[in-house]
Amino acid sequence: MSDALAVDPAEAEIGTRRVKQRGSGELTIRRLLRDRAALGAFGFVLLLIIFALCAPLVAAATGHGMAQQFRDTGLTSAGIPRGPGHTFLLGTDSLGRDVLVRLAYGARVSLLVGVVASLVAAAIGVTIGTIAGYFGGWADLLLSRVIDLVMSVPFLLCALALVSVRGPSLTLSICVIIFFSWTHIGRVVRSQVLSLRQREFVEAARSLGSGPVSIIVRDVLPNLTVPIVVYTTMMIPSSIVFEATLSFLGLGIVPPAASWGGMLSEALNGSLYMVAWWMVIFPGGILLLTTLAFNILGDGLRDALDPKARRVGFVRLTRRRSSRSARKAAA
Amino acid sequence: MTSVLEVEQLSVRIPTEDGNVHAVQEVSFSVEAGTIFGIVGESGSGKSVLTQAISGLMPFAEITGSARFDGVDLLTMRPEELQSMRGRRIGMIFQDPLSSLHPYYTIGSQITELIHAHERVSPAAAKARTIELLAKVGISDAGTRFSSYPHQFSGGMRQRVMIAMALALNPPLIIADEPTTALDVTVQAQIIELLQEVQQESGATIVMITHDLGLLSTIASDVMVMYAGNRMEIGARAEIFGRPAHPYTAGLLLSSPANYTPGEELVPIPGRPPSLLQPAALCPFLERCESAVDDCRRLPPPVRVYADGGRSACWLEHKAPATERRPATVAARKISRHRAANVLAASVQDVRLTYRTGPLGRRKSVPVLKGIDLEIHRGETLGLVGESGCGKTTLARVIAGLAPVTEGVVTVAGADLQYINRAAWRRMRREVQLVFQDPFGSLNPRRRVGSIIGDPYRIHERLSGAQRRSRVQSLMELVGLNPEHYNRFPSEFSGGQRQRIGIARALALQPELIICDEPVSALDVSIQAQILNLLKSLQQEFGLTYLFISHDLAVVRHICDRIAVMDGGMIIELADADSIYDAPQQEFTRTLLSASMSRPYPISGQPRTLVESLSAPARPDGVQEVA
Repeated sequence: MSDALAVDPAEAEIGTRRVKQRGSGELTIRRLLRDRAALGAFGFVLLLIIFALCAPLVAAATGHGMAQQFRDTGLTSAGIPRGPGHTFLLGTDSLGRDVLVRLAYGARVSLLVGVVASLVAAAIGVTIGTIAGYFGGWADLLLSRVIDLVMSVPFLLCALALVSVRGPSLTLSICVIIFFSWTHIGRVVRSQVLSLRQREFVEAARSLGSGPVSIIVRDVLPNLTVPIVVYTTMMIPSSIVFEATLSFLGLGIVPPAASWGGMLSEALNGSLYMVAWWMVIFPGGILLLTTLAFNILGDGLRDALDPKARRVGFVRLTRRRSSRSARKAAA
Repeated sequence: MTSVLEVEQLSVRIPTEDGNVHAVQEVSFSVEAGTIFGIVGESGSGKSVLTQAISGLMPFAEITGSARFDGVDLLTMRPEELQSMRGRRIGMIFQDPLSSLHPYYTIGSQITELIHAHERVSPAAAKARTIELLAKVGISDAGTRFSSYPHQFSGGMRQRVMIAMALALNPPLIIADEPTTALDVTVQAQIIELLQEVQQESGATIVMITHDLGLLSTIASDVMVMYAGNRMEIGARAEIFGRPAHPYTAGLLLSSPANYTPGEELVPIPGRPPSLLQPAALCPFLERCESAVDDCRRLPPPVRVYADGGRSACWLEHKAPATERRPATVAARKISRHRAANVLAASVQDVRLTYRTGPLGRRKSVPVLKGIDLEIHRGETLGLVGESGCGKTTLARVIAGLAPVTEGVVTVAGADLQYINRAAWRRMRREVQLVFQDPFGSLNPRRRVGSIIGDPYRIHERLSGAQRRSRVQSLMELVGLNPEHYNRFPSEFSGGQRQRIGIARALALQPELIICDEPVSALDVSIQAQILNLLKSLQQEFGLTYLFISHDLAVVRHICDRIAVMDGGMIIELADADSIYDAPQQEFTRTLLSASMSRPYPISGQPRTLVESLSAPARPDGVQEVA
């Protein structure tokens, strides 16, 4: 790690040099703070979490329940949803329900599904990837083929079949999402473990008599923290989109519970979006922003945790030019 | 004599996250046409940064000063101008010929491409020129090798290709950055010879950067010694090697085991290089200098100019005092030899190891070890030398029980490795320990030092946390680490300290045999001597047995009682260290010896005469004259 390279423990003791020693945690946070985009994304995610947590408060503040239908105030006399206004800040849907309140409750579903599914999928992927990568041989052959198999199953067909047998539910959609998303991280971890296994410190641990479990837990996994954190973060948006897709197709969250995918699907129902643009723009927009924010955050995390992989700064190039011309001017 | 390259007051600052790294500080030198100019320094001394800055390969750094090449300041050139300069006027040879050559193109096309990029010639002419070049750098059958890919060449041959590439446009200046570091000793000697030939034939000037002083002692006409980004000493070869003025130069010379008779204790430079984040106000070498005087602690050193043209940044006026060697301490080797009362620590009988590679069905057997017999006596140090790929590391892994043998018997501490079960194998781990080559790769970067060194206790003795801690701290003390650093991560230590951590870990269970796999080859010369002394004193204290693997014969000769020479998976010669050196039996041993033993330069007793002393703040920006 080049993080602490600049700092010399002995020098710090001598105290003659004013070199500040920074831990890797502090360095990571400093890098993250300098990354405006990641910071913005992080802010958005925080707001979204607060929004989701405060869903009942939003409902109380507006006085509109999540599944409450306001056929008199929320719909025009022709039965068309009302647009954004005083009573309904973001308008109403086809049944006269408040879009804002439903968005808040939908955020709960999305975040829950995104986080839970990603964490469980990451756990499965890391376990299987580590076993395949560390033990190699038949274990690797078998597990890698399982990963290939799962990756080649058409997920929508499979989800359709499952739902038609078991009936749609939140648990089932989470399970489906987990089943289809652990493979990616599994492959990444497998290849990383494969190269880590060749490292000398693993050999050193082996020569000391450490068992495989001890080596995996103490030597291999701690060195995989960065890819695991980054890939798990990147998996959240895809899980959210996955859930929205399922709900859109009516395979996910059971109505009247709110979910962003379900709201989009309602907007499409009978081409209501032709007259009620807000039914598409708001759920679609928040879905887009959420995925974008998580992706940018994951990217920023990777840059902050692993500075070596960072792109070469274009800014520096221009700075050098200016320093050069300054020098010329001085000369 | 005219100088081709004149560098004045060159400073390079590299902005990093931790602040500006002052990689090069006000370095001046001039290189005369048609000579080989050596720049020597340990890692982090700024020697590579210096040349990269000159050739415009450091776009992110802030560079001040001037570097005149044929009267033109390279530092004020636009990038496009520099680009056409590189290759045409300045040839470059890099350390790693594998990563500097494009793996997807044939070497011929890479060289012709270079010619086409700078000159308008017909493809046939370019090809003819390339073949001629390849033949010139000693590639036999150049016509057919023209269309070979880089991976089809050995390391030495690839370096020859790189040299051909650097020569392609007949540049007046060639910069060679550690051209032989990645190569085997025998190949190293060939490449050095080739560089010398090329230089004489084409009349080009070569700036050669290396960390190996011994390499320069035969070929360079002038040498500049760098330390922590500063120029410590510059002068003609005879002065630098024969009567160095700067204590650092003297210390470097004294750190190399080649300059000792075997068994003598090395005199290392204590401490380690400073951080470059803060430019040193005083002499950067002050903290490690043993001949520092009061003036050193008050003022920056002046530049002493000697009658022979050499310059040294030091308060000392004459020769560095350390050139006189300390009286040889009692030869420890002799003692250890007596202790080897023919008790075997480990023995290897007719061991063969064959790897099976290739696709299923068409498996090929590749024999790595072809019948090895070896006995290691308790209390001795057995050296194992050979070129890369001869199977010495594989043999080490076999003895350590980390690789299974195809055939043969390996006995360690009285137990046959073939017939032991899992539990016994684990118990065996107490008896053999390894010290690895790479001090960066062999320590888990995510674990604290205390837990790394304490690992053997955790696994084998199940000690409580407090007990483990005190044991680890006494071990750290033993290997010369500060026990208070118990909670630090490996990245917070320097290379030499990390190697000490590795030694402490190997020592923890007091094993019967410690296998040192190139333990010092990744370290700087000054640090290398410290580690060798440590290994030696630990052996005397605890009666340890070492199997010492190295490609550096000077190191092996210094530390080993007996030496086994390996070639092609077999031990071709095994004898006492002295007999190997005095009367090598095998042709291969003789080549190895002649390639690796750079004879120490004769030390001259003559004092140097000081002609001028330039105080530091007003360093002249006038012309440097080097005799």
